[in-house]
Amino acid sequence: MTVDQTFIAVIQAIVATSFIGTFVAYVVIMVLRFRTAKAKRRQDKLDQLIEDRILPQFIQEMGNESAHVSIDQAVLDELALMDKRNRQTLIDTLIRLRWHVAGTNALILHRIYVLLGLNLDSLQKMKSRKWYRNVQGLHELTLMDYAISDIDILRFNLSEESELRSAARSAFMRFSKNEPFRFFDEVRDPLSIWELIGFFRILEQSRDTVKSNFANWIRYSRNKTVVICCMKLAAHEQSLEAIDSIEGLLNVNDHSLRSHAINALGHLRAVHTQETLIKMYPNQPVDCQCEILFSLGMFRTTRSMEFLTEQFQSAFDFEIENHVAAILARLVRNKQLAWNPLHLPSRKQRILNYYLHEQ
Amino acid sequence: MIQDIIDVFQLFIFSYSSLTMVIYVIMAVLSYKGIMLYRRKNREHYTQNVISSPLSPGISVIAPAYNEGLTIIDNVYALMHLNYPLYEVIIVNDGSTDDTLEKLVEHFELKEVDLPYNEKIKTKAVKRFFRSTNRAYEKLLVIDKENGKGKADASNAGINASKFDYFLCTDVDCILHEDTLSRLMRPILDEKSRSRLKDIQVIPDTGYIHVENNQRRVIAVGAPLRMINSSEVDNGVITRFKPPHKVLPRFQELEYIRAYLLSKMAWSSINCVPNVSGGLGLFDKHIAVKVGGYDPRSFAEDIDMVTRMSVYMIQNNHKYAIRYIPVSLCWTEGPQTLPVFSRQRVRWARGLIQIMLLHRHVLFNFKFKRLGLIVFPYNFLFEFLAPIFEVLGLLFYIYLIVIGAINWENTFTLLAFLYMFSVLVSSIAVLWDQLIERHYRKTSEVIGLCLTAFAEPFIYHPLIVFFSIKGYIQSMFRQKLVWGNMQRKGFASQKSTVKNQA
Repeated sequence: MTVDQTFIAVIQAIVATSFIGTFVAYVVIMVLRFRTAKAKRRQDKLDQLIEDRILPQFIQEMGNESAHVSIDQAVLDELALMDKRNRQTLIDTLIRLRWHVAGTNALILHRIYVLLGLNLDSLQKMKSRKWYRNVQGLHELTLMDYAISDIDILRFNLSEESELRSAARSAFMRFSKNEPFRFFDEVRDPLSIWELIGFFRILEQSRDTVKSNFANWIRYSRNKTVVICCMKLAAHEQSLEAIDSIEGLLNVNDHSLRSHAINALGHLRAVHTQETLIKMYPNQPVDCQCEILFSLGMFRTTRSMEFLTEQFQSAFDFEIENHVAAILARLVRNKQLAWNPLHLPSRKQRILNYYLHEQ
Repeated sequence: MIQDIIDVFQLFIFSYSSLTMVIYVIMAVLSYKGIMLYRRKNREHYTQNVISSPLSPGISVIAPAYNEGLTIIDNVYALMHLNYPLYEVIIVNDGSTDDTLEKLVEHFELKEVDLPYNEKIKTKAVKRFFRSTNRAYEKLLVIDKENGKGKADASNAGINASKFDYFLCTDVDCILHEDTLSRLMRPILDEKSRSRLKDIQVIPDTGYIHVENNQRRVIAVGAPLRMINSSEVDNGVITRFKPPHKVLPRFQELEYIRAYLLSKMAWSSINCVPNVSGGLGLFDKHIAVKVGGYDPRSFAEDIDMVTRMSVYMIQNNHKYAIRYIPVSLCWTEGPQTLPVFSRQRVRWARGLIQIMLLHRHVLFNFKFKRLGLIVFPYNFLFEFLAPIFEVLGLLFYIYLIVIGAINWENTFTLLAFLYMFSVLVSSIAVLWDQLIERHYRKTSEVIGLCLTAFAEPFIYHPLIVFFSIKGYIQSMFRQKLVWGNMQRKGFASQKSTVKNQA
């Protein structure tokens, strides 16, 4: 065989492979379509079952704290015969419902989840060797409020997969009885805002059970994202004992950290920091100045309002001017500030009027 | 001597084609991994958090409108029903000569307001601002400005008037999926550094230690665009997805699936995205303003801005990422006639040549890391030069035929090789699309789209090459570019048209 012949043979092999590849792609498309159609039929059937035989029970017991949920043996038998895919569809449906209810209704959904044995499916996923199955299991159990032990969750905290570590943190926060945020001690990777959003969601779902002292982490954590996260959580939970630790961050070099600290002080209404904030105001970058103005707006003291009006009158920076105008307009609208802006230059009046009427 | 030149040229063309194919195979693998990872990370209930969270950052949706009177009301309705907790819709009337503004004012009960406006990016004069007196439309802000001869100037005016830290740029004739904002925001909220925290920084003021934050900043996020041409639309919502019936939009549909799901998803997985489309892109406003927004003089303003944003981040030693997600979130009307299609492709070709010249300092420059060593070289070698090599290859074959030096058997084998490979790539792209979402109701519609790939190398590809070369030639002779009108059919009529045809 010459070089040319070998070359042509290779090309012909690639042509044949491409042809077979195309054919295989079509077959896979057909299979996918067939499976989708089958899943759709399954979903329709399950929707019917849920609508006819499970939801009426849920609707009947809605709002009833001492509700005892029972499901027909016939339904349970039918579900017992269902395969894994059907049960997954059922879990997804319950989770979808869970998003829209809270309190007692959430408890009823939880009971249905346990009664149908769907928790076993989720627990099974936690044993899988695939990280995304573990994540799925953790999410399902967290969203359906099915408590799991700290040890079962903590083993995922050391996972190489950030998504799994993140899901484990959320689950730990939801179910740990003693210190739901203990994982902050060991976090060696940056927390993303996405995780913080998840933490907030859990706080909202379990308002009475999750409480923590964020002051220590704000003061001692070596992970900046943990410090920022704790400041936001402290502000959200109105954790006043964190104020001292947050105050300590007003002098750090990092602008972003400082602006988060100022914002948290505003949310916590730490009025005693007012003079410090006013004093540091002239030397700050614009983002920190905006946060100081926001915090002073939250304090609503005579001194803070005086400072805000002064800043509005003297401001040249567009961002500062508009930011303070929006704060003043909100105070005026809420009748917390009686202020007649008629003596202001017409441009300033126009800005203030815009925020008074438009927001 | 001539035989030597022929041999070298033949080897060069073959190597170039083979390299292109190897790159496509790598892209297919990377994009598959990216798609599967996205699927695993984005189950339905995972993304619910962002929709209901008070921490979700605000987004300004900016949609320039020029003579869009036919569809403007439906389109604005669609934009105002997005599933996201905090956003505003900014419609920029770019000096329309039809009744676009009047329709907006009348339908959405708009009144003129004195909005504080800071011209951070220079634009043509902004004349008026409108807000609705109806609380139901409080998200809507309409800007009326002088025509800036292109989308860039209008988008810049929208950026200037926007109040949130992120802006989504789209075309007013595009129809967006209701979860567009939450899905595009997720990569921004979820970006993490790949390595665990290591660098320790002592903060002298407090005496305690903080670990350095080594997260990347996501400066832009994009998602696939699709053709809406034959789909059914009702009140700004797509009620039935169909692949386009007409030839040109149908080829474009296939081209878009390939470009977004194979190419851009692959680039995204190695953080080398060259461009976030002007039709749908979420941007970090701070960085966009720093680089001066869109350049109204550019023929490819989207690539240009993304390149300048990347250059800015690299020059300032900031870690950054540009991401693509595989879910189709935006449907747009593709050109249906050859003259309109020709104008679009000539403009794109001229845009590409402009980008290559304007940012030539980036090409093969080690200082610009991936941008200079992967993104720009790929664009230069496989986007910019490809049509030129194809034409040279064709001329070479014609020459060989004329001198009678062609080996027909080998030639057909080589052509079959190129042809079957291009069909395979398109089929894989459709398969990847089916892995993500199955928009088309009927299997026959999907297979029909796959079969389009068999005709593409004969009909569509030669057109693309021709218009690219035409664009390059026009650029060389500095001919004035005609933007022209897209001549939209409008969505309102689409449902009835389809029904009548049936």
